[in-house]
Amino acid sequence: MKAPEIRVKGLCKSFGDNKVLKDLEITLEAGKVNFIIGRSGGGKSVLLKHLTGLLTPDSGEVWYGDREFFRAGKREKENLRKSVGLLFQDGALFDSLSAGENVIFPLWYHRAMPEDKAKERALSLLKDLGMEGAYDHRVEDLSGGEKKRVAIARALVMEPGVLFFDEPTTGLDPILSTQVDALILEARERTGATVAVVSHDIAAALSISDRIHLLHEGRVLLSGTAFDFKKSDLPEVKAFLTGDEPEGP
Amino acid sequence: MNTLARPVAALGRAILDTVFHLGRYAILSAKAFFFSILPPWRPRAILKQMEFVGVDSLLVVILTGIFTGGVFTLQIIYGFRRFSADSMVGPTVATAMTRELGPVLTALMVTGRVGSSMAAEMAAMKVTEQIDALTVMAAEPVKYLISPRIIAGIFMLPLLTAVADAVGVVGGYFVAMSKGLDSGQFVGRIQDIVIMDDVFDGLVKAAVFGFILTSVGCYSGYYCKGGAEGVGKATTIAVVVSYVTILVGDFIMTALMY
Repeated sequence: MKAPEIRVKGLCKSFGDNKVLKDLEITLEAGKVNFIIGRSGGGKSVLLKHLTGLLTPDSGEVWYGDREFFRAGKREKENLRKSVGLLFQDGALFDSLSAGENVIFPLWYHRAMPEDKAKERALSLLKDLGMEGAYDHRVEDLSGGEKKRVAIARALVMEPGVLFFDEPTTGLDPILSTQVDALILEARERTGATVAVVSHDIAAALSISDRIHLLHEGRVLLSGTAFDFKKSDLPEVKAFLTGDEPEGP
Repeated sequence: MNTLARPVAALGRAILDTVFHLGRYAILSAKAFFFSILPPWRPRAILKQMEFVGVDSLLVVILTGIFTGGVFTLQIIYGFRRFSADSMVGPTVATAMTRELGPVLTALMVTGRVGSSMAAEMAAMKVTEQIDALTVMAAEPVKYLISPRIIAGIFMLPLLTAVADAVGVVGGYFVAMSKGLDSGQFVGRIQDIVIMDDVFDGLVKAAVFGFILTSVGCYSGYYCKGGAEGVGKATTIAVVVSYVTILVGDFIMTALMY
């Protein structure tokens, strides 16, 4: 599956009495960098967990191209997952494995290629991400930025059609944040994948996104380009751009 | 809610909670069993866990076995001499070690070392999203993480128990010799009285205990909630529940085997 459009239709999710997603509709454009931004508690992470099948919705649909994720059979779901790469906020690297073993893990698990070829690919990916020589390093010995890059290599190793990034620059210094932004663009160029970035980082959204979606109280408040956001008169959008509290009624 | 209804409600909640956990534990165990018989098999992962559960526990099991056999012998020599039953010391030590002390004490020691470690490792993986990462990569976490651990527990506990049985009897032998018992009588009476079923029953118990301590450890870690506090709780729950389940299970199995 190469770079599908992802459509979310009428997605609802509650935790107890707390309605987190309220009939949410969103389209992530194929082969583009889509940013999903919003305030904390706005439902971004919950949406991402539905997009990756980690949570099941109360109602609603998630379409990858012409295939609906939650109605798919076990095998079809597995195939869809194989075509998805996700960079977790803290990397979620397996600390019992070395950096290189983390990268080749999906290839090893799915027996996608012989071990020597898998290692060759992992080494090449690590080299491209500036992590040459890190193959045998233990995960605990890597810095935050290095972990992110190893995690990006792991997300890319199966050559996915969809790439998700969960808060990729949170906790990083400005220089590393810029590097990660460049890596996101590079990953898109390399794979041609549909990219979705869940982030608070409005500066990154304005500079590297093709499309931005602002989530507010469980719904998409505005979808558009960086230009649309800059000229928007919506108080919530202005507040998000300036960092000020939105004015009351 | 009035004063009378409150304890009833609390009891009801506790029952519902217990039933919920038992059901989820049964489903997880069934899944782990199901995935362990389905290809692709991963012998390397199983061998790694066997090394952790078995080889790495060897020293603690040997020490436990030797001192248990030794102290048990000390106690019974004192009692048996009152009835001039010195010749029964050997078979009594051997029967107690193989049927009861070997399997139970080995399981309790391995729970402290392995069950707690499995719960902590699994819980840490849960809170750092490593288990979610497996799911997203279409790698079945139960097959990859839990099945090899349970298989290792089921196969390694009987082996460790056999070692504990053997060193326990040896420990008892040396204590008996130090107390002036006859060597030939100690060994000869064991050969006369102890039968293979005594050993076999103990090993069956050990396999069940191996399943209990690994599955409970994995369960409490896999469904852990919260951060560092959750990891601590999962570990404590794994050890306490495993201990109680092993002791209750031991009673039930002993009653069924005799």
